[in-house]
Amino acid sequence: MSLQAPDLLSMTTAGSGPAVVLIHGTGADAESNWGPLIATLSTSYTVFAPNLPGARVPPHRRRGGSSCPRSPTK
Amino acid sequence: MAAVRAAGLAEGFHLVGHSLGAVVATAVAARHPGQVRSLLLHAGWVSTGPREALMFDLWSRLLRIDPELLARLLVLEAMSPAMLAQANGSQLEEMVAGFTSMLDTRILGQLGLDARIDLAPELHAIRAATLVLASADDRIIPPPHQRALAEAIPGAQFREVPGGHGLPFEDPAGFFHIVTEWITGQQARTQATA
Repeated sequence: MSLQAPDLLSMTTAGSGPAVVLIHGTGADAESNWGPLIATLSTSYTVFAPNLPGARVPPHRRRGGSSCPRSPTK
Repeated sequence: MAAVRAAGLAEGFHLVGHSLGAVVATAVAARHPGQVRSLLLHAGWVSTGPREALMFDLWSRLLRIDPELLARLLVLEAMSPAMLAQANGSQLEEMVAGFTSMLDTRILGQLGLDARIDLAPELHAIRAATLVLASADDRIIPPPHQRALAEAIPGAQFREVPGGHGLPFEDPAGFFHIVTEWITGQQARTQATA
């Protein structure tokens, strides 16, 4: 899922468990920089991958197209 | 950090960053030492020097003229010579197209930030277990920058692996394996000491 933080960073969130935060590099975005890692880690962790200001998030990704829903538990 | 706080991570989190993301992660770890359980930094740096400022300024100038020009330069600079030597012409053009699709003038703000990084006064404040990971063929932020980063962060480990600056794009399997292994080890250590 994607959410808007108060500072307007969009963010990919996936999985449940202890928290892991992944921050992408210049010109990338959360999905292109971390894609398969988000899926791998989300089996044991809650993964948060913000998109930095200016990140070009393609429209199909803006509404959580690729990440697992976050479990309400933990 | 506001995004992280909004996500309710007051109890602590493992933090991983690549390139500018490594710089941002370093700053978060220095400014919120109680909340960062572990820190993995790939292709990060301490301070932007004149050479890097020149490079980021060139990137910004190219981007304003035509994003594809910057994409072509990034393929040549971000990928390791070993990887480029194996690619044929159409594969190289595919990489150019991939980079081009991600670049537009909205990232000028990120490039402006890249050009004025100075974390030297803050690094001593980091308390998280830290792994500084350098790609041996990084020609954007060469390994000496990352060695300096590791030396300035208390207790940080340093590791060099084959590849270029764009390791997450060049060898995602290898890079993500290192990240997963590190976080698994750090989480086990956190639980053992809890």
